[in-house]
Amino acid sequence: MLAQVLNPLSQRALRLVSDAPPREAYSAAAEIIAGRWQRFSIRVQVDALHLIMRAAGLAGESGIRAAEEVLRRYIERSLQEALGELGWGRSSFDPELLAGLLEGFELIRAEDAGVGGAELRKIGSVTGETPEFAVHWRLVMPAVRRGRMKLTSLFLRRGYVLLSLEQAMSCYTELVLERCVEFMRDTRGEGSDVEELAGMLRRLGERHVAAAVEGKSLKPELFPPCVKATLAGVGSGLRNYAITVLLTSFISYARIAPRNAGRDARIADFVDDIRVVTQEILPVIYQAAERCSPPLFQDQPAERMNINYHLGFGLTAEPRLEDSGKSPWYFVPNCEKVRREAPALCRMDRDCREVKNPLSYYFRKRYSGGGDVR
Amino acid sequence: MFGEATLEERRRFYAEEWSPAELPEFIVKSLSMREFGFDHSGAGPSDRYNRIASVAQLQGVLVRLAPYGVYSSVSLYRTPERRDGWLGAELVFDVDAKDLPVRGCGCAKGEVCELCLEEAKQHVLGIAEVLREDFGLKEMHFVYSGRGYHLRVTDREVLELGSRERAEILDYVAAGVVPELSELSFGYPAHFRRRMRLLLPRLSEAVLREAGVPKRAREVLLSEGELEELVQGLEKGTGVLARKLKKKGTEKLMELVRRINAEMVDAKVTVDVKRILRLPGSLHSKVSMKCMLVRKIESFDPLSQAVPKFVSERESKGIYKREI
Repeated sequence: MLAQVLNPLSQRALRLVSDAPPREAYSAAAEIIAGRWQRFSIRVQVDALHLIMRAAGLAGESGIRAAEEVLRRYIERSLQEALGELGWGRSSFDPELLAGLLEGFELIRAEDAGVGGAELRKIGSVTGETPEFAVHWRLVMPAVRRGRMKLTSLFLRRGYVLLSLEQAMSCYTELVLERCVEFMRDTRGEGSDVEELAGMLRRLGERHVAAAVEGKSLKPELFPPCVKATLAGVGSGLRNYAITVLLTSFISYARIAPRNAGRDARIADFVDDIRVVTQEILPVIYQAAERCSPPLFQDQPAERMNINYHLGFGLTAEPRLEDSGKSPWYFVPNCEKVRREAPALCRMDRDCREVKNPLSYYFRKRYSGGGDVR
Repeated sequence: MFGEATLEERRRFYAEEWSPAELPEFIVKSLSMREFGFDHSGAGPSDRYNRIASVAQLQGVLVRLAPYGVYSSVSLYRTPERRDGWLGAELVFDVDAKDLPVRGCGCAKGEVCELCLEEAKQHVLGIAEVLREDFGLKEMHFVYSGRGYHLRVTDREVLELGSRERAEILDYVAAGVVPELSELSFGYPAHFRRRMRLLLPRLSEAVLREAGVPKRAREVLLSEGELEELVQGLEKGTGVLARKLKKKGTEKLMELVRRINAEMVDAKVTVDVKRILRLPGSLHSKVSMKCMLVRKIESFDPLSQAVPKFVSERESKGIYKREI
């Protein structure tokens, strides 16, 4: 049974963790980080997952993000295997079997949540998947918190959410990952034996960041020093200004607006697909926020909405193109203001002397390099 | 609504009318874990970071200072005087009658009449029903805030929610997102349709036009007979909209309803886990009304039950007239 590796922090898994993990566990951890799937004993897999989590804590925020993705792939793959072992598709749903597999995730049959078969079939006919399960809504909240699901797209009844198998597994994965990330942050800096694994995670994290910025019409190598410093993550006194004021305006204008955009512009004036915001701009900002110390949203979750406010969508958790203009799309602050408000961010280089605004720095470099700014 | 309370009236209210019984049980049992804020001059609650250890101490402060406004946090803290050691926060929905985006009475924004207050009450009742039916929540407290209603939820499941989840729940209960699936008889799609049925009769030509609803669709929505058919048809699903309003009309109308719904509840109050709210039992001095726990909301009439004695005496002496 794979229950222990589905949740490395479950009681059953914790009983297997070694104080001194065998050498094989270190190799297994490296293989898992590299995305290669090899068969190891359950005990070695549990040790390997704990080594990865400790290494992530040592590697810092970008390492934690990288480890989270590694664990997500691993759990999803293990879930598929576990469901195969249970004979999914060949037998009918056995809540007890599944409950035994998913510790702490109390599933009931969808019918037991008080919804008739006709309604369930109706959902199935429209969404393509008839909900088979129901869980209490609080078990769905990790997936909601982490932006993987929206409550308004789910079906709630008397405290329960109706879920298809795929949705239930996704909720479970997010629940486990949320606890793992918490665990990684708590173990930050522990264990010199995981230096090498931490290095792997750091490099993986850097590749993720580069992938998020590059290929999206942005050229991070041309960013001014203050923005580069912000992208690397800043300390607690600087976080709000650096992320919400400077980076949000800089990345959005650099990505979206033409060089001569007016200051009363709206994002909807330049893009017709909100994914430019949700999949290109916000991830860059969120990743920089996560690299702050402490991570910005950890103690200020409402700051996500404030970022949307600064992008012009009003105070909302979900930016929508039609809401563009509800609040002002804040322009990039001038260099003088950055120097005054956040002097630690201002690390002038030779090119800074030529400009009065960080965005001009970027656009000038793009033009002089022959880049097309749209 | 009844004009501003004078310092003398505030003193009389707290010395003669206020009693510890005015405090709701859910506040009393966690009193010492809440941050208290006081507004001494009418400029806002600038005196914050206060811990009140007991009801007796609170009574002493109220009688001694007769503050312009009294507030307590929706959050519980280990050390409320430092706003430190956050233990959780109530889930709160604030519907202010003066900010309702659409009204049947003709009041301008910022004004309040009996009908506005009734509309705010009905809206809060609708939110409570969704919280009960869809989320299975039970511990809900209605508070008349002086110019609207607070719905304060204290079920264990909600206390530790962060701002992001609160915003998601708000989107759901306020029907602030256009549903993907429209024909279900339960859950969010049904809730959105219920909101729509309530709103449609109140949408004026000007509001519809401003929202870009096409002319033919506007005519349908403003014709009594067709509107009736629409409202009835919405019980089963949104198919009736597509038939009568066509694609563009349906989209524009759904978007308008979504926007109005989102504006009905003050989102900042729901998502802010360190908010302070007017203390139930205290005086809203600006309008001379009591902020109070409402036990039987269906029959609650703020204009008779939330009026302090000094207002009636003022009226009998002909000092002030109601501005309502």
